[in-house]
Order: sequence, then C-alpha cells, then structure tokens
Amino acid sequence: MNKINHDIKDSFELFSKLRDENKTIINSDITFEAKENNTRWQKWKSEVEHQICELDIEFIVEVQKGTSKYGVKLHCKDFTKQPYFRFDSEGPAHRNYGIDIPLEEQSINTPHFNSFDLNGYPIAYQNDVLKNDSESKAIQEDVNFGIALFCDETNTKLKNNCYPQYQRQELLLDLNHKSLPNFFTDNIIFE
Amino acid sequence: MMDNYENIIEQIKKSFCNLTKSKVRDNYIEIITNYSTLNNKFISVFIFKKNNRYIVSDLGWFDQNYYDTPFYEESEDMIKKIKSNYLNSYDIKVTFDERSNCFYYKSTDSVSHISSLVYDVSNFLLGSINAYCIQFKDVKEERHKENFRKNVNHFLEENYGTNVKLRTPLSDIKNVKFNAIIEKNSKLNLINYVTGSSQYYFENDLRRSIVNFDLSLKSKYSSSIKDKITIINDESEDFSIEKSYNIYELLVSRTTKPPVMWSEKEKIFEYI
Repeated sequence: MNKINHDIKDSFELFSKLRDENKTIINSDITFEAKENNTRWQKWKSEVEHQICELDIEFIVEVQKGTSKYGVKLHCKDFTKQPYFRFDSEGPAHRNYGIDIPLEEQSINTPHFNSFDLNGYPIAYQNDVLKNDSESKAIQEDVNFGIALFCDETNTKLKNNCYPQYQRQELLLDLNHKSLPNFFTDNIIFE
Repeated sequence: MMDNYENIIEQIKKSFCNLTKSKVRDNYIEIITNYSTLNNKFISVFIFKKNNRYIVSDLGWFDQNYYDTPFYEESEDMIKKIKSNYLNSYDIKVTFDERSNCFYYKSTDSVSHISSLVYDVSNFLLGSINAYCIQFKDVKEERHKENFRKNVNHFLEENYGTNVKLRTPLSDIKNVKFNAIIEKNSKLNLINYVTGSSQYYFENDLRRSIVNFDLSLKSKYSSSIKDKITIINDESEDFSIEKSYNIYELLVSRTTKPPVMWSEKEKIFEYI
C-alpha cells in the first residue's frame, strides 16, 4: 500500500499552512520547456512566496504533448522530497485506502487533487467543481482552467491577484482535442 | 441465518460492481476496473472499434508510466520475467505508435467476448504493474551485511592501517573480490567475512568464501599468499554454524588457519 509521508505526518500543521494559506506566484510569464528526461512532456515552474513561511516553494505545471494529460503541483524540497499537493487532469483513478470508507467510494477518478491525510497517507479527492461532469471535462481539456482551479484550491495567485494563463495558441489547440488523441487515425496496427 | 449470508453476499456483489466505473467518450469507453495496484491506482482499460474489431487496450498508459510506479534497477530481470509470464498467460498482444510507445491489447469480433478481454488485460496490467512496485532487494540482508562489513573494516584498518586493502581482487583475477587483503612482510593475507540475516544468506557467504579461496589457487600470486582467513560473525542470532556444519567444514579445509570468530577477533593478531 502507499507509503506514509513521514515529513507530512510529523508536521501536519506546516503542511496545512503550505497548502491552504495565501501564496504568491512570482513569475507571471509562462514559458514551457521540454523536460530533460522525457521530451514528450513540457514543464514550467515559478518560485512561490508564502505569506509567512520562508521555505522555498515551487509552482510547477507539466503538460504531455498531444494529449489532455497535464499536472499542476506545489513542491517544497526543504520540507518533503515529493510534491506536497498535486492536480492530475488524467490518468488512473486513485484508491483511498481505509476500512472506514465504503469500497465503492474508495475509487477517485481523474481529474482529481492529490493531498495527504493527518497520518501522512496520500489521498485523492474531487472538489465540487470536479464532481460536476461537464466542468470536469472542460478542465481536463484546457490547462488554463486546471491552473485556475488549482490556484483557487491552494490560495495561490499572481501578484496582481490573477491566475497564470498560458497563451501560446498551438499548445492550447494541442490540448484542446475533444476525443481521443491522434493515435486512432495514425498507423497503429491492431490485429 | 441464511438470510444474513445472502445479505452479505449481495452487499459484496453490489460493492464490487459499483466499484467498476466508466467514462464514455466520442469514440471509446474507459473502464475503470475494480483492480487496484500496490501503489493504489485503479487499472483502466479502453474499448474501441477498429477495422470492425473490438480492441481492449491500456492505450499506452502502462508504458508511459501513468501508474506512477517506482523503478528499482536491480529488479529489472525479475520484472521482465514476471511481465513476460503475464503476457503469455493472458495472451496479450503488443503494438506501437509512431513515437514507439507500447500499447498492450486484446481484440475480438464479438461483443460477448469483451468482458473476458477486459478481465485478461486488467489482470495482465495488475500483475505487471505490481512487479514494478515491489522492491525485490532484501533490505534487511543488505543492512545486516553492511553493518558487519563496516565493523570488521574498521577493526582491520585500525590495526593494520595502510596495509589493508578493502574489497579488492588479486590483480590477475579481477572478478573475485576479497573483503580485505592485508599485506605484511611482502606476503598477502586474504580475508573473507561471513555473516547473513538468515541461514540461507549465511550459507551463501560460506560458499562464496570457499569459491574465492579455491580460485586464488589459480592466481600467479598464489606463492605470495601466506594465509587465507575467514572472519565469521558469531554474534548474530539469525543463523547457526551447527546447522550448516558440512559447508563450514568444507570452508575450514580451504583456509590456512581456523576461522576467526568475531567475538574473539583479537585472535587474528596471532595469524597476521
């Protein structure tokens, strides 16, 4: 089963502050760059200033070219090794493991947020916006909607109180497909 | 009483059934199955029609690590074996897109076969993904061995200083490393450590020590070798020398001095 994050378990109050309290994204200019180890992914990150806490925090957006898969996350390396709060637009449903959760409610579809509970266990959840099918579909298809939703959920904004917006048309078009990615019309051979 | 049993059965069937979810898109269906991996991800499979056949595929999610599994390099061989067993057992086919991403799938002409295909592809994915989640390396053994190695290394370095070379081979047999080689009066003393977090690992160490000493006979430096010594960890309760006495005796026949027990480590000063 999923490993406990002991940093978060031991300092849950700090984790909650890093997640919930007001934060400012310093760099407003979103410029994606190819990830070093995987050129199918593009990444943009900015420093984040927390209203009180002085730890270094990063706001990271990663998009997979040609699909509607993207992720937004907050990372504070001095606090814990892995990103401490994430949003996944697509991918597998997460299992919230626990005897008190009815089995049929243990599966949390994407898009969803990934956080941690008091004991440091990873948990996924959908807020009211994501529980709404049409809104959730729109968010899945446009990285800017996802960024805005993430910013609201974590109280993170630009200095001018706006959300970071990515304007480059070709990427938006790329992400904006309504059905399956190209591979259906491509030359994949299925016997 | 029967009623009660039936209630339980109904509840389980209902929960299992409700756990299986789906997303319907323009030209495919995603089935979010009720199989979940060791890292708490539910397996998804995708159903679509191509050339009048129904395809049930992972849509490249496994290959592109959508399941976010760790990769333990030392487990690579094991993972390959597990994966190929699952591929064969469930008769899974493989194809690639133009970016060389791998797609696992099964196909059929008949709608009535689709459930069975979803079951097979899901089981293949579950088993193979879980293989990535398991750290096959025995962490307890590694830690145990490392602790003993550190203690003995420290003891030898403290007493023999720069005359000790740790984890080193005879220069003409590079693939046989001794835990330590101590040079004294232009003569070499070969030393192997023996310990283990279980009887099995202890016996492996005994065997390794026997083979290493045997191979040293083939070295052109064999005439410069003064002593072949084994240092045995007799302070561990994880194994007993008596239980492996036949192998222990064989080792004793290959060494030039009786093994040094760690509880009487000063005995080594009588040898070197």
